Amino acid sequence: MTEKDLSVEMEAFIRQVFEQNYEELRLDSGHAIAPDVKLTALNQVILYWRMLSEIAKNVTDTEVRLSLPGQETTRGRNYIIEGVVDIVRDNDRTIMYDIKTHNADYVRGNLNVYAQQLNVYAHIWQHLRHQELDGMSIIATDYPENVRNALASENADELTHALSTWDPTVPIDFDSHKVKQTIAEFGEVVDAIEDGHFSPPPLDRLNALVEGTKLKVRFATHVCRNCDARFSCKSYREYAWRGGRGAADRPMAKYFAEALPDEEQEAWRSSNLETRETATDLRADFTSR
Amino acid sequence: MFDAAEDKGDEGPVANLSLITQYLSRFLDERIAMITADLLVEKTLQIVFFSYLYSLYRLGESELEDADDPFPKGRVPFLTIHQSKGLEFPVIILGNLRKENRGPNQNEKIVHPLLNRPQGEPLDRMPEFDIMRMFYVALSRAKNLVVLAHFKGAGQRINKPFNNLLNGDFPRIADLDLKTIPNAELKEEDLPKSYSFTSDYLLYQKCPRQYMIFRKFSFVPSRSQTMFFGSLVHRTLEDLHHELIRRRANA
Repeated sequence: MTEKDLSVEMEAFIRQVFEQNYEELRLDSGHAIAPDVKLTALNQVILYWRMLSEIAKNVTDTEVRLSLPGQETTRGRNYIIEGVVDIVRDNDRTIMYDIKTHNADYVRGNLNVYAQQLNVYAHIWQHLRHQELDGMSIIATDYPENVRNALASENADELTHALSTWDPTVPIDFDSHKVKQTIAEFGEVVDAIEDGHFSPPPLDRLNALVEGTKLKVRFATHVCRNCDARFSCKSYREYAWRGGRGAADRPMAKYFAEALPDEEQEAWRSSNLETRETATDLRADFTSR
Repeated sequence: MFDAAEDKGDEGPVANLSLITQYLSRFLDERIAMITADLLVEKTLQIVFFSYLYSLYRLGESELEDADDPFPKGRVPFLTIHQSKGLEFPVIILGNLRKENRGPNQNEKIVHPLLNRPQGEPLDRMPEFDIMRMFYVALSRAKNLVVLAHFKGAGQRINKPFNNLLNGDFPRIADLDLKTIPNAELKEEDLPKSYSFTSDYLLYQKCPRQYMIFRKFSFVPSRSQTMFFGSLVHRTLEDLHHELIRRRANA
C-alpha cells in the first residue's frame, strides 16, 4: 500500500469512527453540537492526521494512566496525583505528547501551565517505567484562522500554503525544578480544597487579559461568561454591574439583588405562618383539634 | 448562598440546589428535546413541579450522595437505623425506643424448617434477636454522646429493656454538663485521596468557586459544548491511534 493509499484510507476511517463517536456521545449526554462545530471537530482530527502522520504512525501507547502516590501536603495530608497522557511515540526517540483542542498561540502564551503538566507527567513516567524520555510536546489541534479560511474556500493550494505556516506542536523543556515547584503547588491546592477555600478570584483577575488570545480577551469573558454561577458570584457582579463591563449581562442585575437582610427576610417568611410563643400554647393547640 | 456554604459552613442549600439541577437535567434529557416557546403554552412547568419533582420526593430521592463526604456541613442528618449502619457521629439522638415484636418474618418461617442447621437461632426468638441487633447498631453509632428520647404519657410505649434502663438511675439532660463531653474530632481519612492534574489542580487554579460548584457539588452545567467537543476529538484520535497500532502489529 502506498503512502497515498494509506492516507486516503485512514481519512475514510476517521470520518467513520468520528460519526460513531458523535452518535455515542450524543446519546450518552443527551446533547448535540451545532453542525459547524461538529465540522470543526472533524477537521481538527483530519488535519492532525495530514500534518502529523509521522507521529501518529509511531505511537506506541495511548491514554496512559499515570499516578504518583505517596505525596504529602504541608498540612500533612497524604494524596495521589493522577493524570492521563494522550500518546507516547517510541521509534528512534521516546516522546510524550499531550493533545489539546486549544489554539497553539494560546498554548504558547500560557506555556507555564502546560509545562507544569507535562513535566509532572514526564516525572511520573520516568519514575514508573524506568524509561528516559527524549522530549515532550503539546499538540494543539485548534487550527488558526488562515487554515479555517482556506478550508472554507476549498482551494487545495491555498490550504497547502496555510498549513505550511501552521505548527501545531509546541515543544516543552524538561525542568526538574518545575516538577518540584508544581508538586508543592499541587499540595497547596489539595489543602485548600480539603479546608474548604472556594472564594472566587478577585476583581483584578477578572479584569486581567488572558495571554495568548488574539483579541485580548479578559478573564471574565474567557472564563466567567461561560459559567452558570456568574450571577451568584461576588466578583463577577462587581465586574458586570459596577465596573461598567459585561453590558449583555446587566439586565440580569435586578434578579440578583443582594439578599434581603436576615430580619426582613424572616418577617417575610413567617408572616403567613401561625406561630405559638410557648410550648403550652402549642399543646393547647393540639388538644383542641 | 455559595458564599454562605464557604464562610458559614452551611452547605445544605447548595447541596439541595445541586440536586435540583441534576433532576432538571434528567427531565430535559428524557422529556424535552429542545427548549421552545411551546413549553410555556403547554403544561410543562406543571409537569416539572407537580409531577416530576413530587414523584422524586415520594420515591425518597432527596439526599445528596457523596461517598467521601456523606452529609452537607451545617446540617443535622436524620437517618433510619438501617441507613446509619457503618457510620459514626460524635453525638446521636435515638428518637424512638420502640420496636414491636410481630413474630418471625414470613420468609424465615418458610426457610427455617428447610435448613439443616440445628444450632441456629430458634425461630420463635429470632425477631427478638433482630430487634436487639437493630438497637445495638443504633446505640453504637455515637463516639461521644447518646441521647435517648424518653416518651411518657398515654399511648407511649417503649421496649422493656429501655423502660428498665430509663426508670432506673439514668442521667437526665438537665444534669448534663456539656463540658464533660469531649470535643468532636475530625477524623482524617487514612487512605490517601487521588487528585487529577487537569480536573482538580488546573480547574481549581482557574477558579476555586467554579471548582466548588461543578466538581465538589456536581451542579449540572447548562452548556456542555466545550466538553462534548473535547471528548469527540479525543475519542476519535484515540480510535485513530489504536487502528494505526493494530495495522502495524499485523504488518
